[in-house]
Amino acid sequence: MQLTEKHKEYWDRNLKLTLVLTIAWFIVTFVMSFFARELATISFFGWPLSFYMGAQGSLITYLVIIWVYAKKMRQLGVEYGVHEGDV
Amino acid sequence: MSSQASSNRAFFNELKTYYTWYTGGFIVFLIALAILEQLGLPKVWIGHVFLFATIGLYAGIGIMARTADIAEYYVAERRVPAIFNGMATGADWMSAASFIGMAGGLYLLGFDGLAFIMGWTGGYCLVAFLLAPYLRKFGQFTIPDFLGARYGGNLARFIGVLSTRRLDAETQKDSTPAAIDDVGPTPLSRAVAATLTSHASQAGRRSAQHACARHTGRARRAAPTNEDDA
Repeated sequence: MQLTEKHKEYWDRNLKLTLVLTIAWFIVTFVMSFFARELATISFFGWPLSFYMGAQGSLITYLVIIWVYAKKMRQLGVEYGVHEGDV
Repeated sequence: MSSQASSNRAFFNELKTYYTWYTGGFIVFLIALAILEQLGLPKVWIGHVFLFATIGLYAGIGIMARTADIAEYYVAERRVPAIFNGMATGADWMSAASFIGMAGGLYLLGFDGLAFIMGWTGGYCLVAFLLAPYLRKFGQFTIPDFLGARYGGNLARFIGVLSTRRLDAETQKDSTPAAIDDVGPTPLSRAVAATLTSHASQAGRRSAQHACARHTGRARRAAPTNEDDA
């Protein structure tokens, strides 16, 4: 299949979205865990921030990340005519 | 196209009927057991009824929905609507390893045990936007299949099998046994077992089979289907 400009643009936007989401993922996963000791001094609704993030905050962020990805990719697919299945 | 859409709609309604009956049946089952308990059925019996009823149901669903077709086996021909796929994913997420293993992990490891909790869901993110869409576009269901198709030949596929098996052993080794050793069979743990089993069968007939296969290690890491699988 010949790749057109449109396909490349689609792929660029796909990569950008993935990059942004991966960075968000990295912050709530690695940064939060790596600096857990420092962040534990911050109180979040009475819990140490690092504990809250590990037990709930990161998980909520993960769900949001997946939701954003699914929604954005569906939009992109429709916009560029490479969508599969029902809209 | 429109006949396709209407057949999808019919399938959706069919699934909805099954699920409604199933949920209703499960509630009736719970109430019946509660009544029997009040009437003096021994606790041991209740535990056994719970366990065998749910396992029997699980097996029954597996037998009714059995298939030898690979596309059917992994993704139920891509016909299962997103909402039911979501339930399947949720059920898989709440598998015995997460329920029992995480309780044990937190008990033994304290704060460090949270790594398992984060990994469970965080890993799904990575699969969802780094692996699954490309496996899907590639038309393969597992990483070994993908490697085999991408690099050609069985050697690549074999290396893929070895490394995924290895990773799998690595991740499952630590998490599960802790809690079971410490708690032992209690009514609560039986309830957990029953809930897990019923969740898994709620998850969709063919997808449930897939979840079951994953847990027995026959099929590894199928690509989760995309959001637009309706």
